[in-house]
Amino acid sequence: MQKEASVREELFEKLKAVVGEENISRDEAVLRVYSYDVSPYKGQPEIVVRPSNASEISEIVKLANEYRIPVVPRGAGSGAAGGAVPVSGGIVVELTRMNRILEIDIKNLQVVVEPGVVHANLNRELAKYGFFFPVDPGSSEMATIGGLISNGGSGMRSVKYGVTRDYVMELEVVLPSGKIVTMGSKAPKSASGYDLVRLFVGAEGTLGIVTKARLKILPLPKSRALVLSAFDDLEKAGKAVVNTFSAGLVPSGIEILDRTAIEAVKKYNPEIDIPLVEALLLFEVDGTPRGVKEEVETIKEVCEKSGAVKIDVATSKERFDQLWSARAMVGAATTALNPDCVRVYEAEDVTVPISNVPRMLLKIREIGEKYGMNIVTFGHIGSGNLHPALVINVLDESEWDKLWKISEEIQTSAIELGGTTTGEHGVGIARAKYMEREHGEALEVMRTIKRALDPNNIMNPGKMAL
Amino acid sequence: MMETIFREVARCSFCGFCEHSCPTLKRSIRHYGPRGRVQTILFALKYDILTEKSIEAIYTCLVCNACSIHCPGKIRIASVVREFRKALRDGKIKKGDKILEEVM
Repeated sequence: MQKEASVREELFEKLKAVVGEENISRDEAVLRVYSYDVSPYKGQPEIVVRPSNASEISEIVKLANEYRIPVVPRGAGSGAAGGAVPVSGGIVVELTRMNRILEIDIKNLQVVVEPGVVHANLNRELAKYGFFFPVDPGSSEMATIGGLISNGGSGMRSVKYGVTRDYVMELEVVLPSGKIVTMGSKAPKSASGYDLVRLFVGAEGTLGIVTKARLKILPLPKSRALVLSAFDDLEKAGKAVVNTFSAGLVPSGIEILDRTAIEAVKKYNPEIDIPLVEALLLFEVDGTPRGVKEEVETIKEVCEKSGAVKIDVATSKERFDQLWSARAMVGAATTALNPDCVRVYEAEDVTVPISNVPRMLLKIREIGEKYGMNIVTFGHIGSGNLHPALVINVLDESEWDKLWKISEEIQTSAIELGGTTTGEHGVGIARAKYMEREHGEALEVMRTIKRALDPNNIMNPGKMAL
Repeated sequence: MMETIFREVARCSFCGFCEHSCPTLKRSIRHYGPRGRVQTILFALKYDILTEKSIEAIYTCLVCNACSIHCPGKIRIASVVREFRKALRDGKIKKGDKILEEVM
């Protein structure tokens, strides 16, 4: 024990020499602040370091290898799967000091950023040039680009614009050996070699730490509009989404709010004017003003035919922003529904093929009824991605038991419907137990890659069932 | 009062929507933001973890209320910080106390 303590002391001193005294801590209370993310999973680190560049990170990782201690990269801690939670202890590497936009290259439609850049800040900067990074997470104001890349995140506009994976051109990564490697290409397309960039997107820090990223950007659309369609039946809303795609339309986003979600929005912002119905669909279309107008008309037609009871079009920027920000907030706002209850992020990211969305919606409702829990459902229905919110009294142990059972049933149903337990939040610790069922033999391929790159298993151990 | 404080912070779902609004977090480091402060209070009450650093985190809060406005769960973050400071001053929270057992 004595020896152990002196070895830890030695490691602490060496890390301090790398990042400086003000950027390292092992204070008991400070460590607790790095022990959580948005998920219900907790784990306490031994040391927190806040490096400012790739070579410092390389030194940290080399030391971790030498001392055989886990390294857990962390951005804003806004993940929902426990990906940044140090479940095996070790060193948390906090990346928020690395928050510079290094290059905005409009001619080549690309931007180079450090991992700690906050998503919304990047888009505020790009808007000055009339461009944007289209991936659009609800947590935009806090999530970092590094976290978005490492979790394979996406968001509300993924229907038309795709996910983070589609926008990463080049990555600089500190490998578990401490080596700094650049992968990918600056060219708009490349058929050269293994696609290592795609391997590292969504790797959740299990293969290395992203220290720089070159991202594709796009011009901001000239016009946007929002169509709100109200339905008196959840399944009808699900079918309206399927019908929209079948009609040959690709809106930039399609969101759904069920009755309880609408109640949560109204509770959060009583001034917001939306109808209280069983299901509300929000279609966003963008492009040229004329194109937007045409698409709005087609969506109205499709929704009418699909049984919408009320259709409303929002074009003013004020109304548009109000509705979108309400939608971004709804998940967290479910906590406000009942003063004794808290939303627990579990089973919150199921994603199924579009045609199975109506069945998934029914299934969630059935599971809720079975356990007597009013499950709030909303999400990126246009990409098959639902965010059922489980709201419980966290001080009541029996409610937790119920929550774990509901979570298991929802996630199992998603897999059975040909889907996945996570569309954009990642696996982390929350969904590790489903990896085998989702991937079968492919999980062994992932484990082989992990062992080859990280033989000492120091990079974010305990995640993704690796 | 301790029970009120505990019930309020226990409602935090760690969502982080409060954080971008915090003026001290912008200038400082993670644990000196609203979510860090709520957690600091929760850990002090629940696990008796109270250090110089955590007290510093509580006292660097400007109590400007920006975070409370942004909290989707409508947790009264600034008020909780104020009440916790008062409890510290009045000697109602000390390291080694079984605070949670007393409030529950």
